[in-house]
Amino acid sequence: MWWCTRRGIRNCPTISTPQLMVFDLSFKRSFKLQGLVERVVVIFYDKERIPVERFVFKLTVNQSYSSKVEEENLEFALRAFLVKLTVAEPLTKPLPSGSSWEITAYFHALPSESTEEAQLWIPTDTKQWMQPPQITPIKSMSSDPLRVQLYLEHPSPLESMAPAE
Amino acid sequence: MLQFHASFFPDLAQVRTARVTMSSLEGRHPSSAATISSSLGDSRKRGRPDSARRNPRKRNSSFADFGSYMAEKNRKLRDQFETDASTSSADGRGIFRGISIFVDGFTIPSSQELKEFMLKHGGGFVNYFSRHTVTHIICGNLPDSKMKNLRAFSRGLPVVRPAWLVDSIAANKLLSWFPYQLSDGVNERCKQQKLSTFFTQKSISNSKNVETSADQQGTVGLEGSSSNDEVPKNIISYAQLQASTDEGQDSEEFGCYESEIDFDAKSVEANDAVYAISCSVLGAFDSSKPHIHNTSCCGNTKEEILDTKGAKASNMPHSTLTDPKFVENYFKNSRLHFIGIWRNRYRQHFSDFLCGAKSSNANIDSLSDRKKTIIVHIDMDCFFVSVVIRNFRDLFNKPVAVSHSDSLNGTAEISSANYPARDYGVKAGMFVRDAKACCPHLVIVPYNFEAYEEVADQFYSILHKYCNKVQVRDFLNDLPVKALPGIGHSLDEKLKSRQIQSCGQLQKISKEELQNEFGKMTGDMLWSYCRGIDNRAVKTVQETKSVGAEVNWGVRFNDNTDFENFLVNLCKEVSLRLQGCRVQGRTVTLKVKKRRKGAEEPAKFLGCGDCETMSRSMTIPVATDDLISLRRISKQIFVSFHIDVKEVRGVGLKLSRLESADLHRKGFEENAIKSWLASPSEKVMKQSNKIASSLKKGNNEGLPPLCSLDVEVVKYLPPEIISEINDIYMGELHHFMEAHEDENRSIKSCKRTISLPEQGDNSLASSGQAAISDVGGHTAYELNDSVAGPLKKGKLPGGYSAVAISSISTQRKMTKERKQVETPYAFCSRSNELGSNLPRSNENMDLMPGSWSQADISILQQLPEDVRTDSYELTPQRARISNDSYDLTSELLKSSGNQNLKCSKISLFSGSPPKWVEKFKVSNCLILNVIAEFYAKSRADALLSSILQSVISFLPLASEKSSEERDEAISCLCELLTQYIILKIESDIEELYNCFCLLKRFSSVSKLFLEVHKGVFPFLQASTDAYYGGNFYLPIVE
Repeated sequence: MWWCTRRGIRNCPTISTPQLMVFDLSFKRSFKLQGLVERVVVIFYDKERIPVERFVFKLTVNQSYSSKVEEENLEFALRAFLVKLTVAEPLTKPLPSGSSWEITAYFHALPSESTEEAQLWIPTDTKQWMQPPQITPIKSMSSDPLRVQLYLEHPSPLESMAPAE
Repeated sequence: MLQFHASFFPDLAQVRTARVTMSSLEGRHPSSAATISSSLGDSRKRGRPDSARRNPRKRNSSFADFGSYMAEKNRKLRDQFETDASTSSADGRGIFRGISIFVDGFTIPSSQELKEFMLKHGGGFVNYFSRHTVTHIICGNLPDSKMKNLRAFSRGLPVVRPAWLVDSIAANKLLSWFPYQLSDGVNERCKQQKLSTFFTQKSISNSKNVETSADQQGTVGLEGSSSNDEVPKNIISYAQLQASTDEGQDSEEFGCYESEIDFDAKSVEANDAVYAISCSVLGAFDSSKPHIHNTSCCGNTKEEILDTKGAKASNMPHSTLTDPKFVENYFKNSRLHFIGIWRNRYRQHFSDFLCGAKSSNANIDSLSDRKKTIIVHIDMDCFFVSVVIRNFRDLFNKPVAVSHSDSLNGTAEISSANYPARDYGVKAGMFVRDAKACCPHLVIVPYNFEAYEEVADQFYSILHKYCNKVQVRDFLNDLPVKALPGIGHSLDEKLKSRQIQSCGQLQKISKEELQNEFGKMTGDMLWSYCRGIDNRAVKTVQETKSVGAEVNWGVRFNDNTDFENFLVNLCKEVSLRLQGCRVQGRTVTLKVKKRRKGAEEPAKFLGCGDCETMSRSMTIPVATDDLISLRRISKQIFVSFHIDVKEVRGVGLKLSRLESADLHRKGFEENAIKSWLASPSEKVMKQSNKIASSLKKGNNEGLPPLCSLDVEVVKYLPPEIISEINDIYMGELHHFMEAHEDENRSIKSCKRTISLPEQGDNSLASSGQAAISDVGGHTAYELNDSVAGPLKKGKLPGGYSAVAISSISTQRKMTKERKQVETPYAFCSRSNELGSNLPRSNENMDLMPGSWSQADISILQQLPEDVRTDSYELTPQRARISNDSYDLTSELLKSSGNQNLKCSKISLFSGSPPKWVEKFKVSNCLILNVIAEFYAKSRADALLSSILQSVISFLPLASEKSSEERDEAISCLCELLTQYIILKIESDIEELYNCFCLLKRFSSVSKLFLEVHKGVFPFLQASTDAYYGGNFYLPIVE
């Protein structure tokens, strides 16, 4: 497996999504992932630890971008996510009781064991959907050198017929 | 080098203290010993019959009742006083004439001193209160009950603070007692020390108040104004110390003027209790006769008699419930905190000494005749008390204890008690209540942290004059075995089981035996320690392992807001401490004391009582001392405890895994986002270099002949790569390059190819993994290969073909391309292929994990946009190809979000305004014209979705079409949308989503758009699947 996860706090179904996202953004900020991470996904699980909903942040960093990073612009652009998230609630599904969540990062490549960052990540045993999920885009942003897309993933209707192991 | 240990044992010190105080008393009253004895007795104002026993003369008298006894006693006292007065004040015209005072309770100066004042200045002093004989009541503190009912207590007489007398003497005239009235400002000044007073800031500071408060403190001496025979004899100067060491004199000679600094061993954590001084002294110390010095360092502290801390209002808040600055004040007044930060203070203040340890070492060595290291442990016993009372001789022989509060409840804890008090059984950690039960006349004095700091600093200064190393360390005592350092619970148990409890017993056991019993190291250690030999080097500064703050007293919360406020303050405190130590921590530990179920309210006022302790920690990736992060993390941890804040009795926050802040500061200053965005290439470069070099051998076999290398290209390669290639060719490359220096080639093709190796290099760099760099390595290698000119499939190294084959459709396309691409552009098309392969595998990422796909992704990520477009522009054939491939299809489309296709398809969007606008304008279809029109009206970078949105009102137009126009419109729109999908799928699915939501809405009213939707939607889904591994979910529109 070449995705890793950092476990979040379990059993917090009450936490509201925007709050979570604020946390998530700051979380990402604090991690100097340096272009290693391709996606950061906030996954909500039901009691059986089967994903119910996934908020996917797809990140692309333009490595060839050499001019100065306009932080204000970037911050501003990132803030747009928060705004959009607050109105994204109708897109979400009510979470069943006993839900939990975790944040999973998908790496382009496994961070090598020796680096400090790698030790902070634990490989995940997250259950995956067997069918391609349904995607609902929430926000796309491009502010050089960073491109971020946020979309929501729900299990496809076929999923329930052929449940994941 | 020999080492000696001289320990100051409490009993020894005690003897000294007793002696000192006796001698000082005698020195002070040389004239009449009788007066002393009586006044000593009378200074206690209680008129109990048993006081008669003190005076043997009175024992024989018989009295009818208690009243007549008292009358007789008063008369005698008056007589005594008058005789004294007549001897002491010669002229009988003192400033206090006509004034007769009664001293109530503890005052500063003491009642005895006040009595002397009165004697000298013609006043009267009454031992037992009587409305008729007394004119003024003097008192510093009054219990609350008396304060509340002052008139009843004073019977109308003025109640004045002793400062009135003192000031009057200083002014040499009788001042008005009015400003000194105790009754004024009852609210501001609490006569009795309350808990609350310890949680206020030094606020009231006009000079009078300060003075008053000083009186209340009970710690002030007034040598300056009152006493003529008091000399700061209790100062042992450096010179004296030197003299004693130099001449080998018995320190006893100085001893009589030495008062000791007692660090209370109990209240001080073991580590800080004992100061080991290693002195390299001038050879005067004799091993058989170690000299013991109780040094004191009172210095010029007499000026520092006013403690402003005393000025506190009685109604100030004192628990977390009411005091917004609770945490701050808590630590300002915590002795444990004071001790805790001691080491840091020491380090900061004496950093010069520490740095200069070497040089001073040299000095001392040069001075000394024979080199001897003498290690002296100084037990600073009952330090807190000794410092406070060091200026008050009258307290020297009285039982004194230090505590926060001398309240009626007596629920404050005693932190330190002097030896007279200990004789009564008063111990540190006792409640004041219990202590008073043991010793009713125990004097409770408050802390004086400033004085402690001052004394400690002076003390260290003295030590540093003569010693090169001062360590705060475990205490070496030969009484209980357990007190030895390194002997913990288990070892103690073992020893006990062998009937060994004291060091004396331990000394009887031979070294060998100990070694057999406890192992070599431990045995050695026991043997040495019990003889007071400690070979450990005296370390000046021990490393700080963790920094934190804990509050276990006065913690009460009503709701979460209270708690959060408290937590913020605690975090602030910790953050400040971290900054003070110039460290940052990575592990945050939150400790919470929770009231145990059914536990009673603790005996100690606002104490923590019986608690369960919970502790949880969290490690963060980057060390921090940042308040906000600390707050966030600690709150997060607290939430995870799931406890009611009302049950919380104590909170501690600690940071461990400390790192030097200076190292981190730099990284901190850079904005986190920025650093996060920074290219990984540099960081991983080394790593990949290693891997690359390890790959060399493997690559050797497929090397193209040297002559087929293009020198022009090679020389533009980064030097590292050149040298690497050179290595691969066993150093022949350099010669080869020289030989072909003049050879000319097409610059264009060179440039193109150059960019590729760089990419290869980049991908190499970015990969953190062997597998990836493997492919990267191949790519780089292959590029060298392609430089050679002829591009033959057979020549491709295995790695690359594996990638190519991974997708059959891509493979097919590749072959197709290759047919049409002409040789001069071989590299470009190659690079294009490289690119075009990548998204394919990107799609596969979730489905087929494996090294190839990983490699592809990384390569793709590294391919800059411009390189791709460059390649596309270079190949005009591309359009044709893609047309073919378009025919080729949906199959192809589904399986790959193809770059090739993209390149051709987005042609409609190239240019400004985009090509499609023109195309639509000239179209016969009305709806297309409308769309073009709207585009023209809108901003240049308008999104298709916003244009479509505007089109909505023109939808009816779209339905009235001839079938030809209709078909044209559909195909045009389909093409437009398809290209739009290709253009946007990677970067902006939100926009596509919006477009298709609109399209879906349109299709419910317009058949044309229904067709368009049907035609393009599958492509959208296919592309989404390819890039995101899922399908768009479009809301159903009615």
